[in-house]
Amino acid sequence: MKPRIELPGLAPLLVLLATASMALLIVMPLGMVFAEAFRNGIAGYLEPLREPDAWAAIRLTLLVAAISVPLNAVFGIAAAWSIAKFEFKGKSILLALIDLPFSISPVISGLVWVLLFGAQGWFGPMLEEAGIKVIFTTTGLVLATILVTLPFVARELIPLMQEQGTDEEAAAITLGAGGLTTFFLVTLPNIRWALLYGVLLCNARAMGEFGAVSVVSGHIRGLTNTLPLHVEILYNEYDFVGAFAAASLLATLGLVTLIVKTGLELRYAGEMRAMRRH
Amino acid sequence: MSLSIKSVAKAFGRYPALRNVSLEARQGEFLALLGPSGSGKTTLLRILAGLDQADAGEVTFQGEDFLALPARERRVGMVFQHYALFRHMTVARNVAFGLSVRPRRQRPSNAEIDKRVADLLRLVQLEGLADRYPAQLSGGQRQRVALARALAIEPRMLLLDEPFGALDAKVRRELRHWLRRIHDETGVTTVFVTHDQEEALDLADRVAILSEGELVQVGPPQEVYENPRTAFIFDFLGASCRMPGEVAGGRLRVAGWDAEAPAGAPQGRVDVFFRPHEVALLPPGEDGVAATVRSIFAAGPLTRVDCAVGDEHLEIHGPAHGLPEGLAAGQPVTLKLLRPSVYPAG
Repeated sequence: MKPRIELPGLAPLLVLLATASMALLIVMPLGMVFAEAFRNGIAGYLEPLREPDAWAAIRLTLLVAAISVPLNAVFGIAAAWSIAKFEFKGKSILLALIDLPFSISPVISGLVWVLLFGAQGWFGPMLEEAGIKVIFTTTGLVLATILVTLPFVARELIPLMQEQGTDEEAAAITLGAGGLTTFFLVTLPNIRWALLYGVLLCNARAMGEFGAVSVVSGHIRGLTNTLPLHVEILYNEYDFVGAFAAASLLATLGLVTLIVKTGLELRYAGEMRAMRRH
Repeated sequence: MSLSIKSVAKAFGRYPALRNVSLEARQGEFLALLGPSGSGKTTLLRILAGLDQADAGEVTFQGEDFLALPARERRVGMVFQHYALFRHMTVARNVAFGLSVRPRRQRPSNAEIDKRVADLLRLVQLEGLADRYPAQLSGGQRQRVALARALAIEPRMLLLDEPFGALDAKVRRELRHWLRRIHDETGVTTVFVTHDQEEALDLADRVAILSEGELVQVGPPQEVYENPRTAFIFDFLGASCRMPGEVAGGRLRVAGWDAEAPAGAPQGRVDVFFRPHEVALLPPGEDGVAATVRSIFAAGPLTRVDCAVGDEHLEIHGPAHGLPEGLAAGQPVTLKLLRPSVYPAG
């Protein structure tokens, strides 16, 4: 039994307040998206999604996520592993660097790439000579997305790995296991749920990112337009049904992420508690 | 000598954890490293396991340079205070781990591994629990799994880091005797770290006492207990009483009592230490330290007598029966120190 605090009168009030603000701030706007998207019925909903530009935007969004999420998962594991399991100088600086994308505006995260690789950027002329284009290409979109979603996996793993300590790895090594064996048989299974969470959150953000992507994209239809940018373009052209239909896809992606996460939590609650507490 | 540690030193940043420690252990010996927290005993154990690197010194085991071997090749069985069981593996897979990660050529067949796991679980009396997960076991059971896992690799040496530290007193005493039995059955050289002097004295063939990174005394439990080399060791090894005194011309004077000084006692101002039960309670006027009884607490096998000598407050343990007649709170009493230990005044 969990200890509970009884707050007669106050507790129902707080619950009511929380529910009301949730409804106002989250459920209503979300409902709006779908209501607007279906304004002209199902046929009207599907029509703007059949456009080649919309298809290109969906494919590009999936491609960018498919590249940046695995990279950030690998980076997140490496960063969390080194921070949680080893002592070294400059650890706090590394931690601060990992958090940086959370604390700066996504627009800046996009702009830095333009300043580095744009035509007027530091490496711009050099890259142009070599015939490599970064800005206004998929490469730029991937770079911007990676930067923005960098902290998600690492942040999810670090507290868990710190809590788990290094005794299990030490035990594995004294039992004769090598570094890789220890990682795959001991460390990775112990963090798999947190890793999945981190990847889900990272993925949701990677697909939904607007600011950073907007700066490096150039908004070339059918080429460098991701789904969030596609929504903006349609909206600015007063194609509300089209904009909301595309937006509803993004919203659905978010909802599916949430449902998968909640489902996993329910299904594996016991095991996950055991992981944490031992 | 099977294990030989020579002049090992280790510092963490500016903080020295071990200073010039030299120690040996025979094949099959049960050696306890005893000391308060921060004394360096766990650091020494981790150096033996290869989990920490020594800054200086040598460790040889069965004639082999142990420090040159990486941890995974030392074949030592390590048991941790907080068990360190692989939480996502069953008991059986935990125990089998050391065998199943061997290179293919040295790996026993699955049937052999299964048999070995079953044998070990029988040895640690956990036969029915092979398919449980660590989270489903009690602390004592987890530590027995950890020991079985360490024994599975047929370790050349067993290293235990406060293995019973997280368990309650009763389980601790049970496991203690059980561990000694397993050691005697397997005959593996064992190094055991603890801060519990009773555990160390009860279990080990020899006890090595560490303080602030230095080895301060080593010997069989009884010898160490009866002849602590310093006041710190005397105090650390059990309940103790202390009174100031003075040694001159072969005589020890303490609180007005004049007695023959123990052999080898230092001269001048001294601290006199004795165990609370190594005191005879005699009627007033007898030869000894004159004291006043403050209170008597008689329950259990001992009678606790709180006494005052001047401003000093002493807690004496007398027998349950056979106290002098008329002993009561507020009455005078004579304390005869049966085995005082004398150290330079600190």
